[in-house]
Amino acid sequence: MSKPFDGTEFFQQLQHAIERARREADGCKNKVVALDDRLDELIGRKGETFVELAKHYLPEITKVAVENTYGEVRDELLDTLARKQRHESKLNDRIAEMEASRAKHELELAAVTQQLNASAEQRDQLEQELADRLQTNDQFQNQSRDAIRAEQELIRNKQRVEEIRREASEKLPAYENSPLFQYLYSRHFSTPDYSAIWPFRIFDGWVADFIGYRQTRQSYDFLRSTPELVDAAVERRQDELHLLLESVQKIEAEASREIGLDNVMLDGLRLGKERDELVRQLGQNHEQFVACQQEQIDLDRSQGKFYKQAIGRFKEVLEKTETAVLEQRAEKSADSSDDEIVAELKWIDDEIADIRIQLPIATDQHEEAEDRVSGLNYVVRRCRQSNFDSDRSYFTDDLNTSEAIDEYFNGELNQFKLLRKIRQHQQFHPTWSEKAAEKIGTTLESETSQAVMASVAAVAGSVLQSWLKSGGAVDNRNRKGPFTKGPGF
Amino acid sequence: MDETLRIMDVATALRQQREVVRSQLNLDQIKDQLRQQLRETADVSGEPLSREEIDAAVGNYFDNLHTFREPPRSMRLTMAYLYIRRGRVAAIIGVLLAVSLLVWWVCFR
Repeated sequence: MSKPFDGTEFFQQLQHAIERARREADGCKNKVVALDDRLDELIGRKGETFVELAKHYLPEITKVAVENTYGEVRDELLDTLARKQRHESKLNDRIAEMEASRAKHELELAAVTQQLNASAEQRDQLEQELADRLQTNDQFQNQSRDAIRAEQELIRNKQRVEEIRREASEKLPAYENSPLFQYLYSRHFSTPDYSAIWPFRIFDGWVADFIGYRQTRQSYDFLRSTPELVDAAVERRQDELHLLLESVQKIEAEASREIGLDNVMLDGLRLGKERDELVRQLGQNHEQFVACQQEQIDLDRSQGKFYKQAIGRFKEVLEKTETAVLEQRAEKSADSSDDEIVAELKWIDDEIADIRIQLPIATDQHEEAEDRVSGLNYVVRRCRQSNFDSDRSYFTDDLNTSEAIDEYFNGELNQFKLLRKIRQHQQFHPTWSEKAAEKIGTTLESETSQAVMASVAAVAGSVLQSWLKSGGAVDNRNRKGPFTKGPGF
Repeated sequence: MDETLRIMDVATALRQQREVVRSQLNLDQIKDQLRQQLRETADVSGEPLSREEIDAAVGNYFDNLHTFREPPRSMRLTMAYLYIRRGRVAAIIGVLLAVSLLVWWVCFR
């Protein structure tokens, strides 16, 4: 028999129970996750083992290897083999075509290169002859010298134009920002357009003398007009230079035509284009040839696409075949490797079957544990709503909380029965008004009657207190009641 | 006769423009000539001018050529400014006179 205990202690026990339930639920969840992971791993391993078995029976895609496989898939594998052989045949034909094309292009390239070399040699000879001719042509020599000189002069002139422009841009703002100069300039002073009357003519003259307008005006006009004038002159010189260069080129072109250099140049350009095109074709041909060769190598290797298709199909057939059948066939074969692979498959099947039995059980346990956590949370919520955690709340000595919680964990009690059991043993210490009522000997049976009596007592008490404080006046605002909906506070 | 004179004016203007262009595009030659003249003058006057001093003098001359600066602050400059802004000055004086007249009319008459 235990002692009575208060609401705070009771709630601590409930909190411990919730933590215990949470730990159990987490443990169940971890178990479910571990079983799931293991199942995924075994399924993946089973797939790999089937591929291993398929590769064991079909190490390469040849007629002999296909004959050693299962009858169910043999026709399909033979079909894949036939497609592979057809593809190889086409690939070989293409490679042969490309080799022939390359040989043809190589021959053409050699011929064109030979012609191009001859043309280049002829060009060099004729260029030498042209140079000799022009060397003795006085007109060409004079004009060439003039053109070179004019070009150098033109470069200097262009630099000078830039200098003049820069100088004007630096010096003109002083004129444009001077009110005195701008006044006289706007009145056209010292020009035929000047039309001021006496006495302004005298005063304007005085201002002009003061700033030296006549000289200044010339400088201003010079700075404004000179860049354009010089620039126009330089452009004219450039045009003259072009004409001179054209004349020089005309003499050279005429001499070139006379000795036949023009035709040789045209012929050389045509051959050059032809050669470039042949080189491009040969490069393209080579790239295609390398790609075909690579494809041929891939087909011969185990990673070839036809082999992958065959293994994939064979694996599907093996997956559909019973493990017992696989065992029988492995036993029949002389090699022991397939026995080992099939034994591993059988072990994986057993493991998967075992996990598929354990998994629903673990899932149910997890759900039950989560329900227990929810149930305890429900009990705590309801107890709080009923103010079982107040200082006035206490539990009678015949409630064994640990035992009740154990019964809940064992499934003997659900959350509703546990709550009912707690309610049965919970009580509140009487308020001072209830104690006063007891003193006046009032005996009330029902809870309602007790509550009404408590209110009456409270009103009476508060009236008494107010009356005493205010010297006899009654204040209804001092009436007190419970702080919460429940009776605990 | 007038027409002939006008044509002559145009021809003169064109010749002057040509000369300006020629002198600007041959500025280095002009500078060389100026240096030579300075050298000859210095030799005649017996002044010992170095090549660097002559170059600096020529450079300074061309840098300041066509440069404009207004005269320094003075009463004459102020008068010149007042003159060229005579319209605004007259307007301000007119307004001040009108206001003074109005005040006199309202307060003292």
